[in-house]
Amino acid sequence: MVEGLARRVVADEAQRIPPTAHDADLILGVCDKMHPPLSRLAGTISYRALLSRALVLAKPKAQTLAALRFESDGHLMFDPEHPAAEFLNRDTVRQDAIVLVTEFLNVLMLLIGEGLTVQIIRQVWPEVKIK
Amino acid sequence: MTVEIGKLSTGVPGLDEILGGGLPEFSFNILGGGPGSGKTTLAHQIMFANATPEKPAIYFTILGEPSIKMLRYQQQFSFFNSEMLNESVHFINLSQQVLDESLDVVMEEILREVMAIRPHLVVVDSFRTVVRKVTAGIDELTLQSFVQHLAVQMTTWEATTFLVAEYDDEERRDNPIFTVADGLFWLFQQTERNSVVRKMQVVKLRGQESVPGMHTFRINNGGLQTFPRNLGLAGRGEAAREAPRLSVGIEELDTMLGGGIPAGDSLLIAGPSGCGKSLIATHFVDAGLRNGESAIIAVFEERPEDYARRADEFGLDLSRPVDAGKLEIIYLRPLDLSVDETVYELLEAVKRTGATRVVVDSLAGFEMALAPGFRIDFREALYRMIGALTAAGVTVVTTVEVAESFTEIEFSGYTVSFLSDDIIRLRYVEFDGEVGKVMFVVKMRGGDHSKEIRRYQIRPNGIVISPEPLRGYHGLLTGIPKLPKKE
Repeated sequence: MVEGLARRVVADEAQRIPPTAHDADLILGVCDKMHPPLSRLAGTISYRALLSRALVLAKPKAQTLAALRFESDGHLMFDPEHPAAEFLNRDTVRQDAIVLVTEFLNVLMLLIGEGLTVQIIRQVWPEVKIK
Repeated sequence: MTVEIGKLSTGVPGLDEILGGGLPEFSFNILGGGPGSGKTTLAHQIMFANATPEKPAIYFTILGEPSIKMLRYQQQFSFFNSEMLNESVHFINLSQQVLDESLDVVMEEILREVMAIRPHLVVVDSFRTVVRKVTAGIDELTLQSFVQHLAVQMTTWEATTFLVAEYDDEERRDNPIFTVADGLFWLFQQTERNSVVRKMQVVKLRGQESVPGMHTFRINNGGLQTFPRNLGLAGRGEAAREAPRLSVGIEELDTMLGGGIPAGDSLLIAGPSGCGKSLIATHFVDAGLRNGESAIIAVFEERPEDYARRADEFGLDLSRPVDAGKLEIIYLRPLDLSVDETVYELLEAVKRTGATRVVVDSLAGFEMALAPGFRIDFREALYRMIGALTAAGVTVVTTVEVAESFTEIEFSGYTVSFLSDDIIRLRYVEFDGEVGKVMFVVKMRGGDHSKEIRRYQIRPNGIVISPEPLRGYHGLLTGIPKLPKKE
């Protein structure tokens, strides 16, 4: 269920990204959209802690995620100098984004429960079907 | 024309009664207490009970307990409804603003959200974090001004507000912030020997009469449940002069009592171990059930199924009435009960079943089930319990074990006999080198009664009382009677 939801979130986000955008913007866009509601709900520190945990869990399954790191303000950024960056392309980014979002949702559901997680998803991506 | 202050129901069982009808609308309140005392849970419970899409609530979290953990734990309570989030209930974290900015910026942020969402209920948790800014360079006057500004703004925006804060007892004195508050609610978690008792006090509540004193409460899956200390005592009416008599289920004993127990009385059965106190109480319940009445038995020393099985051995069937909902055997033995909680359980059971007869078996077990702190005031506890039950119109039979003495006669070890309207005393007596049992009625507040001392036996069909009084003996009450030598 979680992976399916992650797929729909990534697909929805992919539609909104302009064709000229950087490949990494799909991943960063999803995470950035989760930032305001999560920070509002639980604070920036919590958002960063949750996303960090998801990243650690997702990295072994998605090579290009190694090129992501946090900025001091809590935002995620893509490091083009990182060796993993060279594997990033239109084909890999979508799959890697799904892996990260799946882990992010898993962490959220584990800690704050399905109800609250679904509320956040509905708030950010109102057109995405939950089930 | 006077201003009419509306009252919000708290959604916490018992708390509206303690507050004198509910929370004053648009009041500015402080919810204080030590760590783990239940402040956050109480605030959540009130919020979820009151928030609607038309009258939403905002819960501002500021450092203190991390929001993720708070949300995780609060979801364990049945009142937490995640479907209400973002429409009826808004959680907003202000930790960063408090850490990085001045109190003015924090105020601006709160007001910005309040103006946008128009909440009817606002919680700031933990307000203690804001207070700690004082020690980090902001003077006390600025803090007091902040609180006053907040209070005025929240009332102006028609929001009932709670500041949740950890305070110890020392800080409760001479705290200028508390002057601003309309309501001061304090939660305590007291350790008494090995048990922990939760208590709540309404220290201050403007505009309405709350119930003074400490009220015990429990936290269970449903959140807080409070037990007002005057539970059941309000409105106790005068007993009817000519109350109908209830049969005890033992014909001879009914005769000794002058026709049975006056309805609405409390009867104490006192006697040593094994003399049949519980059996008489069971007869009393059985008689009511046979008469179509409902009953409650509160047991403390054995499990309900064991109690019913023992009654069954005497041909008194309690199991079927239990299955039929006519009888509830309530087992109360958590060892940290409060009196109010016990009274609440019994009154709720009376309401559920429409019981007219209640047995408390026994007082010694009841005392043991209470937290140590409540045992000190056991007589007061009994007074309140019996008062609440008889005020509810039920007839109460209690049993009490007394140590058998062969030099004096006691009515109970608790000197509670004055609390009972009627007393039956059972005792062992030596007859011709054998132990026999006798009973007599000590007191009937409602009228005359037999003064006879009757011998009785415990038979397979229950208590069997001799139809004739013991005559000719001297010193029966000492337990070692003598028959005067025949001339």
